[in-house]
Amino acid sequence: MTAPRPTTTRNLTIAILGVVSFVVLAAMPEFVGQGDLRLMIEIFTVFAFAQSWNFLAGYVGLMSFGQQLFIGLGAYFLFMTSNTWGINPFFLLPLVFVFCGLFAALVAPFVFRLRDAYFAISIWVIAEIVRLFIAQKDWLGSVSGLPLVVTRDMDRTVVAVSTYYVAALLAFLSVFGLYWLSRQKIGLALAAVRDNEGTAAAVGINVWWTRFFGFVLTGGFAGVAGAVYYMSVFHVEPGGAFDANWMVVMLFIVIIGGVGTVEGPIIGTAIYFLFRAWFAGTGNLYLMLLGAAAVITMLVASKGLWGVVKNTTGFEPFATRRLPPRQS
Amino acid sequence: MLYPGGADCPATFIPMEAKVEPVLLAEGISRKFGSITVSDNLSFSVGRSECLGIIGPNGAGKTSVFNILAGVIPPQSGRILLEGADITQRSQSERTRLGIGRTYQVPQPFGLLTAYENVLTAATFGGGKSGREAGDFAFDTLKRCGLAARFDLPAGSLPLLDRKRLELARAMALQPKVLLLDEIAGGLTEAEVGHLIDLILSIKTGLAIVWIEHVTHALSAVADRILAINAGRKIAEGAPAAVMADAAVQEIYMGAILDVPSEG
Repeated sequence: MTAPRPTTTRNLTIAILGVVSFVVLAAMPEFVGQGDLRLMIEIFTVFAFAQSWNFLAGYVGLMSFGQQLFIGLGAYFLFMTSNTWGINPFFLLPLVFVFCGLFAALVAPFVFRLRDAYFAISIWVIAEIVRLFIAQKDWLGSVSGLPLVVTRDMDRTVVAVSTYYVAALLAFLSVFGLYWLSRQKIGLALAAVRDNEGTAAAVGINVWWTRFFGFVLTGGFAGVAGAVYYMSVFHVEPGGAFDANWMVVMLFIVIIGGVGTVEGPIIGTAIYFLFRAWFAGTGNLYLMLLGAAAVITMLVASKGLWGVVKNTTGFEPFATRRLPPRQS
Repeated sequence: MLYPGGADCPATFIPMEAKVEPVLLAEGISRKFGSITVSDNLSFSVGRSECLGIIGPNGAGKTSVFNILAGVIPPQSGRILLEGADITQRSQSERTRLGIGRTYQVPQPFGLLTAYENVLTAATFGGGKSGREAGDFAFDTLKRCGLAARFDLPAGSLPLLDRKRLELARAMALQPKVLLLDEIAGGLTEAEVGHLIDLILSIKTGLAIVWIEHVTHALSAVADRILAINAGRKIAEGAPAAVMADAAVQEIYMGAILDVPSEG
């Protein structure tokens, strides 16, 4: 009798987790009130932000300090198009993905000329430029921002539940989509480019286009997540949407949880929201606690809390490691 | 088919031309970095089933030749032909897919990926394989290079010797037409060098190999010709024994030692 293949067990675990998460996420609105639903929307979208940055830093190997660019862009694009054309914002989300992806594609040839810290800062600079541009244009609502007009006349419960489902889908994709992608051929190319771009070229991978794919995908995804987040609060203003604090939140979640893993940011997001629930009333102390928690994690567990869990329990449902075919 | 002399060519007969027809041809390659010349009008070729050894002192420009051939450093003049096609303007990844595979002198693995995944990338992207075929081929290549037992370890955690084996496995998994080996025997024990020689001889048929090596007895066992370079220039080229015996080569390698005044 042969032992079960690790990959078979792994696929089964993923399938079970997938079905269970899907059912739980789908049934949630039946059991929680609207206030909790709002909180879930926030948690799921912030988790999606974090995973978009985790993907960029941990899977593509691009360290960016300007992921808030896409959050703000997605939100503004959604608000502008929905308000101008009077279209239900839910139907515009695919277009948000296209717009933010396209924006990423247009800036990529410029920012890809920069390396490491210069690249990281360059996206931040672009985010600031877009923020200042919007703040000066009355047709974009200038500093006071824009309301979302169309959903005002819709049933509030329907809007809340619909927004919840979209946010839940983003969270679901942030886990299972990321896992799926990392198991594909492109996932292998991304990992190779992340680890060593010289060797990646030496095994026949086009480094530039591989990075480009990752950058555009994460830009589009963060854009949709940003649009959903601001859809749930019905108002967007440039100071908040392009706030560098978004970047701090993403960094905190991913570093605490573990960069380059599917599971890490789940833990990170949970800790972030617990911290906020417990200490948000303490003012500046709250920020200091966040910072201290991140620093301590970096010092004692450089692979994040998920790294600790993985090493002590050996439990790793979303292992992306590839195994050779069964040798007969 | 009739050959001079009128005899019918037997099916197994391999004409001599097949061996000397160059798979890789470098013509007048030159490259300078400021005042430093890494490659000076260098020309050489390597044919199918042939191994060209490259020797030269440290800083002679051996690895730079590989970087120029692989497409990391563009030459300032000269051209590179692969099976007659000019690839001088092609990028590194294009050249890999066209059939140039290389190892790095200082191992450059994908550190977070496992040994198996490192080789799988080569089989997938350079070798153009997919699914089960890619997996089997990658694992088989690991096995041939003595890494089967460590297939599941992150490449970054492997000891140096295994990382050198992985360099070879990765380059082999590309199934290249030209294999560029950069000092893969350095640091190996005698027994390991013997195993390495057997391995390279076993893959040599049909392949063009260019091998930079300081372990000259390993090189002599495999190389059909040796090219000696210094300061980016060709010093000597020919049969291994002839090149090793060449006065200019001896001068470069032994000159400095012979110049040391003896203390009586």
